[in-house]
Amino acid sequence: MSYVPPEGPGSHKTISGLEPETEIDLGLGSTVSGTSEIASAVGAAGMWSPDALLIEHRSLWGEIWRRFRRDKFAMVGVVAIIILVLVAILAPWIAPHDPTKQYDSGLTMQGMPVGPSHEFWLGTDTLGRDLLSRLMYGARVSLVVGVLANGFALVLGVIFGLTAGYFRGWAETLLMRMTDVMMAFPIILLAVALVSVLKPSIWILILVIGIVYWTPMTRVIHGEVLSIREKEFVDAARLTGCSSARILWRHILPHLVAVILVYTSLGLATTILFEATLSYIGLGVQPPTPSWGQMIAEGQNYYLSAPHLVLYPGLAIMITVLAFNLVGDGLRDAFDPQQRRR
Amino acid sequence: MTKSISQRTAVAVVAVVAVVAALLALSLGLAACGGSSGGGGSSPTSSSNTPTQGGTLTLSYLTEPSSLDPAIAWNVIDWQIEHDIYQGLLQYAHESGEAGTKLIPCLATEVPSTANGGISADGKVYTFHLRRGVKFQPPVNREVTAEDFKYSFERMMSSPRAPATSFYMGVVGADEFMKGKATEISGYKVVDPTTIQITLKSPDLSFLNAVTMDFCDVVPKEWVDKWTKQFNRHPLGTGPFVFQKWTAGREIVLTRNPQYWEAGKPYLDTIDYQLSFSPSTALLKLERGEVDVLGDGVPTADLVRVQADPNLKKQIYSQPLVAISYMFMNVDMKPFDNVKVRQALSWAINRDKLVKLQGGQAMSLWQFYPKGMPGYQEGKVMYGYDPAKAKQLLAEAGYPNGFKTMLYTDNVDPNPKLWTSVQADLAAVGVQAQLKTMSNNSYYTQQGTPGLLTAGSFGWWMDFPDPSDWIGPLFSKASAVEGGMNSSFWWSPQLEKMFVDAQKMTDPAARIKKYSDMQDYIATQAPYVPCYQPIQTTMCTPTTGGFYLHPVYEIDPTQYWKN
Repeated sequence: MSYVPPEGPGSHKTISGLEPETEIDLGLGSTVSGTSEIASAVGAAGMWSPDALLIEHRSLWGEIWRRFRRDKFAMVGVVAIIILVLVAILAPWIAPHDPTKQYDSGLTMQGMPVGPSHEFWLGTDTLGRDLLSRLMYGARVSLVVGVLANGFALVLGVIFGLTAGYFRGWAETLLMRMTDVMMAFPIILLAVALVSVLKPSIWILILVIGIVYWTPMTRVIHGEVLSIREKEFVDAARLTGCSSARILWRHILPHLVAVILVYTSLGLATTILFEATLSYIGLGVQPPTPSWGQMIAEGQNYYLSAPHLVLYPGLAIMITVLAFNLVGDGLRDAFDPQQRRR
Repeated sequence: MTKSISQRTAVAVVAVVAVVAALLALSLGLAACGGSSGGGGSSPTSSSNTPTQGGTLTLSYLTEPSSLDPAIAWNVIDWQIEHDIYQGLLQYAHESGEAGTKLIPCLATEVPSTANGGISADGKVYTFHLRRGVKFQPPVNREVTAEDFKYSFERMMSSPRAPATSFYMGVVGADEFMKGKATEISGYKVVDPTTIQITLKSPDLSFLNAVTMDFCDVVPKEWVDKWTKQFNRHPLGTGPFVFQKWTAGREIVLTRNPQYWEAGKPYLDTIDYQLSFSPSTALLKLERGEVDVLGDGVPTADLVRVQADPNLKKQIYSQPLVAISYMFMNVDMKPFDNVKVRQALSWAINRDKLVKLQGGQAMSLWQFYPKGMPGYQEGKVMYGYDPAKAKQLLAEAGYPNGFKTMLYTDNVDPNPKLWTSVQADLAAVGVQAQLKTMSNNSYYTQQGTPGLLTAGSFGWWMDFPDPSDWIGPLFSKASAVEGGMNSSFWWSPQLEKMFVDAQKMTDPAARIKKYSDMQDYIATQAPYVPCYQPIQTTMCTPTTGGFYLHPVYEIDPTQYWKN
C-alpha cells in the first residue's frame, strides 16, 4: 500500500506533479505546508482566490477524521472499542460480583452452573462464579495484552523495517531473511514452545505475542521505506547534510504514520485473538484470573448442557476483534481515498 | 496404581468384605433405575441375556497405555487392556459388587488354602497346581509350564523400571536376587512342570492378592527375547484376546484367541480400544452408536443431561470405587515440612463442594482409607471442614497471614475445575496458591520427582482389597523415592515398624485393627489431605450384552458380547 499525501477534495492530479517537495511534517500532527494548499485552492477555483484558500484550509488530521467519520462501520467499531475500554477500566467498580468468588448459590443441586437470574445476570460458570463479572475482568486481560503485545511488536517491526529498508545491504539481507524464517514458522507452535519454556504469566504472554507478531509490521515498513527513500525530498535532505538518524526520524517516519496506524488497529484484532487462543489451550493468563479464551476452555465440555458458558466469551472475542478490524479498515480508507474508490 | 485418566490411582479397586455389602445395596438401586440415586453397582443389561458369539466391541479412552509389559505397567488403562491379553495363577470372580472381590482359579487349578493344603500350616508356603493344556497365544503356541511362571516372576523382579517389587519382597530369596547376590529367587520353586511352590519369610495374608496383580502374569520367554524392549508394545500371553495392532495415540485392536482354554469364551471377535477421544466426544459417539463403552465414564458436564434422557438413562452403570483423591503436600519443601501447616490445610478444604462439582459422582472423604477398604473406620472424621481452625493452626505454625505456594493438577476434566475450587478454599484461609495444570503423563513423572512439586492433586486406585496396598505405595520410605508413588515423600520410622509388624500378623481381625491404628497415626502427621472417593459412572450401548462393572477390573470385555 502506498501513501498519498492527503489533500483537498478537489482533484489536482495534474498539479501535484508540479508541487515543490516541501518538508511535510505529518508525524507531528501539524498542517501540510502552505504551498500545496494554495495549489489546491487554485485547482479547485480555477483561478487565484483568497476565499477559496480560506475554505480549503483544513488540517491533515481534520481531513482524515472527516473521511473516517463518514464510514459508519468504522464508527460502530470506535463506539464498541470505547465501551470496551470503559468496561475494562471500570470493571472493579461496575462488575456486580467478585469474578473469582465461587458462590454456593451459583451452582444447582447437581453441581451445574445456573442460568441468567436476578443475582447473576448472565448466569454462572462451572464453579459458580458470576459470568458477567468474569467477562468484564476478561476485557482487561484482552486489552492489556492486546495493546502492550502489539506495541512491542510495533516497536520491533518499525525499528527492523526502517533499518532494513533504509540502509539496505547486509542489514537488509539479515533482517528480512530473518523475517522470512519467522513467517515460515507456524506461529502457534512457536508461541506454545516459548510459553512452555518460560512460565506462563501475563508479561510472558505479552513478550511472546510481540516476538511472534513483529514480522508483518517489518515487512510492510520495509516495503514503504524502500519507495520513500528514493523520493526527491530524501535526496534533498541528504544533500543538505542531514544525518541518517534525522532523515529517518524527521523525513521518513512521518510518512509511515498512516501505515502504522492501520496495521496497529488490524494487529490489535489479531493479537487479542491470539491471546484468546493461548489462554484457551491453557498457556495464557493463569486461573483464577479470568480471560475470555480460558473461559471458553473451561466451559467447552458444557456446550450441550450450558451453552452460555462458551457463547458469551465467544461473542465478546468476536465483537472486540470485529471492532478493531472495522476501525482498521476505516482508517485505511480514510488515509487512502484513492484506493477506496477503486 | 496410577490411573491415567482422571487421576493417579491404583487399579484394582476391590471392594472389601464387610463394608462393601452396604455399598452394594446402594449400587444395585442405581443400576436398576439408571442413575436415579447416586451411587451404584452394576447389573446385567436388560437387552438379551443369552451370550452370542462374534462382533466388535469399541471402547473409548482419552489416553493410551504407557506400556503393555505386565512387569512395568501400572496405570488403569494399562491394566484394562492387559486383562484381555495376559493371565496369572488366580483371578477375581467376574461379578459386580462384593462377589467380584472373591479369588477364583485362573491358570491354577484351585485357590490355595490351608484347607486344601495349598497353604502350609505356618502360613509361609503356598503351592499352586497348574491347569494342563493351556497354550500361549499364536504365534508362540506352546504349552505353559511352571518354568514360565518362575521366569515371568524373576523377570518382573529384575526389570529395571519395575514399580511394584516391594509387594513381593517377602518371598524367600527376593532380597538376594534383587541385590544380584543370587541368580534365582530361591523361594519361588518349580516342583514339577505343573506345580509351583512359593515360600515366604513370614506369613502374609495379602499374598494371594499380590500374586493376582498383573505383575505376576505369565509371559513366554522366547517372545520377550524376540522383542526385548519392544515387548511392551507387542504383548502376548494366554488370555482370551490376541494383540493385533497399536496405532500410537489412536487405537489398539485385539482379536479372539482361537485356542483359548476356557470353553465357549470369549464371546467377542474383536475389541477396538479407541484412544484419542475426550470423554465428551466419546459420549456423543456413544449416542451415535460409534462407541460401545465409555472407558473414562460420563463427563460431569453431561451427567444431568444424560440422566434426564429416558433412553440414555437406561444405559448408565455406576459403582463406588475403592479409590481416593488426596491433596499431596511435599514434606521436603517449605512450608509443608511443618506439620501444623499440613494440619491447617487438612481443615481448609470443602470436600462436599468437590462432590457437588462432580454432580454427586463421588463421596466426601474424611479419613485416609476409602470406604470399602478394610481398616476404614465407619463414621470417623479425622479432619473436617473448618476454615477458622485452619487459620488458627496457620498462625500457630508462624504463618498468620498465610503464604504463597504452587498447586498442581493434570488437565483432564474435571480436575482443573475441582482444583480451582481447592485453590479458592486455600485462598480463604490466606494461602495464595498458583494453580498449574499440565498433561497427565508429565504430571505423573513430575509428581514422582523429589523436591519438584509443592502440593497438588493425587489419586490412588486399589490394587487389591487390603490396606497394605495403601500403606506400602503411599506412606512408606521405599516409595518416597524417584518414580515412587509417595508424592508427599512423607514416611516415619514408627509407621515403618507398624507396617512390618502388621504384615506378619496372622489373625485377620487383629491385623486390620493394626492398620486402623496406622491410619490414626498417619492422621496426626497429615501428610496428605483426603478429599473424596470417586464413583465410577459409565455407559454402554444397548447392543452391548452382559455389561457389568467389576470392582477390580472395572470394565471387563472378556465377559461382554454384542447383540
